Amino acid sequence: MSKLAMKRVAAAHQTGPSVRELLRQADDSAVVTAFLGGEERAFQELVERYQTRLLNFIYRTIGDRDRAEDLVQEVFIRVYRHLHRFDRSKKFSTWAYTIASNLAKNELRNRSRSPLVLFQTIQGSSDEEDRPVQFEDTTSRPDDMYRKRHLRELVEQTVAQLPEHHRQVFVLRELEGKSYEEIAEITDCNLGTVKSRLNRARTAFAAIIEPFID
Amino acid sequence: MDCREFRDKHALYVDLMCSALEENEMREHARRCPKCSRHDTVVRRSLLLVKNLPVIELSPQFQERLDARLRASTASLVAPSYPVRPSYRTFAVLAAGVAFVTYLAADMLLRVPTPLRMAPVVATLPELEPSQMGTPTFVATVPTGMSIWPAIMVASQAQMHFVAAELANER
Repeated sequence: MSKLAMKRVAAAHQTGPSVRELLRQADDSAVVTAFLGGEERAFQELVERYQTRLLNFIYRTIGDRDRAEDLVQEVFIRVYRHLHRFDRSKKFSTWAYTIASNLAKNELRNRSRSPLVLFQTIQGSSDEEDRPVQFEDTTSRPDDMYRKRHLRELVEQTVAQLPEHHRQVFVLRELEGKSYEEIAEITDCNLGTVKSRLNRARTAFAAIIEPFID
Repeated sequence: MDCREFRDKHALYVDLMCSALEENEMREHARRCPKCSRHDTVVRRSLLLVKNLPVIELSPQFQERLDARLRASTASLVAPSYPVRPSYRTFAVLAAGVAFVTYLAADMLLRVPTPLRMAPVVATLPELEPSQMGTPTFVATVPTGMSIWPAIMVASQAQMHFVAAELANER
């Protein structure tokens, strides 16, 4: 599959404009192969596929949007440098999330040593009000809109309140839709630990949210 | 199934990862136990809220910044490394160091071992003390019942007297 995609990309490379289209249709493995074969545009395809997902994952883990963007960039720089060392028998997405997870963990560790940065996190993002609120719709009444916005903020705060290990597993499962096995690989835990952490995180989350959902 | 087991397996139950048998047991327990049934409902509803959280979008400058960082990163990777050329002074110091070490090594290897000669020991014989045993005072103490003190004195000076006697024989 990957070799076939490589040939297609190589063939399209001679004709020019459809390379991006082919890369868009190829799976991750083929895109990685194309990049390692010298097709620089393949890297851009990987960036486009994962930038938003990684941003959301890192943001939900560390709670600081600007820093999350920096860390996503750091992930791609590492991917660019070390892609030749990537074990292609594994999923590219798992590898990218593992890098992101490690960077997020380092960030949280550094913050715990620096109370000033921790305070910034508690304050939250400055452009909070500018972001689109997808919970809302234009047909809702103002009080409904207020309630939904309040609920969204509450959900975000509750996720942020979960202990680090539980939060990471929770975000990977509930927001990124990763399988238990992938989460185990990304977080470098065994499957039993993932199940246990997810169970605890869900229970803790539900306990905080419960009074607001009736 | 009891409540504890229900809570332990709840994540798998929600994610449809239980076996058919376990799922039936879980469902049956939730039907019978209002507390666990409530727990199940609350967890499922709260998870719906999480799944509906808005997606955070990248800032417009993201791509531009990433390109700049990648360029800087690759430039540092392919930057030519110039060979270090030592100055004359560095070269002279290094050469002197090498010569000194060579001299020390050669000195150690070429040195012929000589037999060990000890310095002569100069010793003088101490003046012999006159024996107290033959004095009139000593003799006088014996019949007066003071035999202990002379005995101690004789014992303490015995070694000296043996040596003195040997030295006298050698002379």
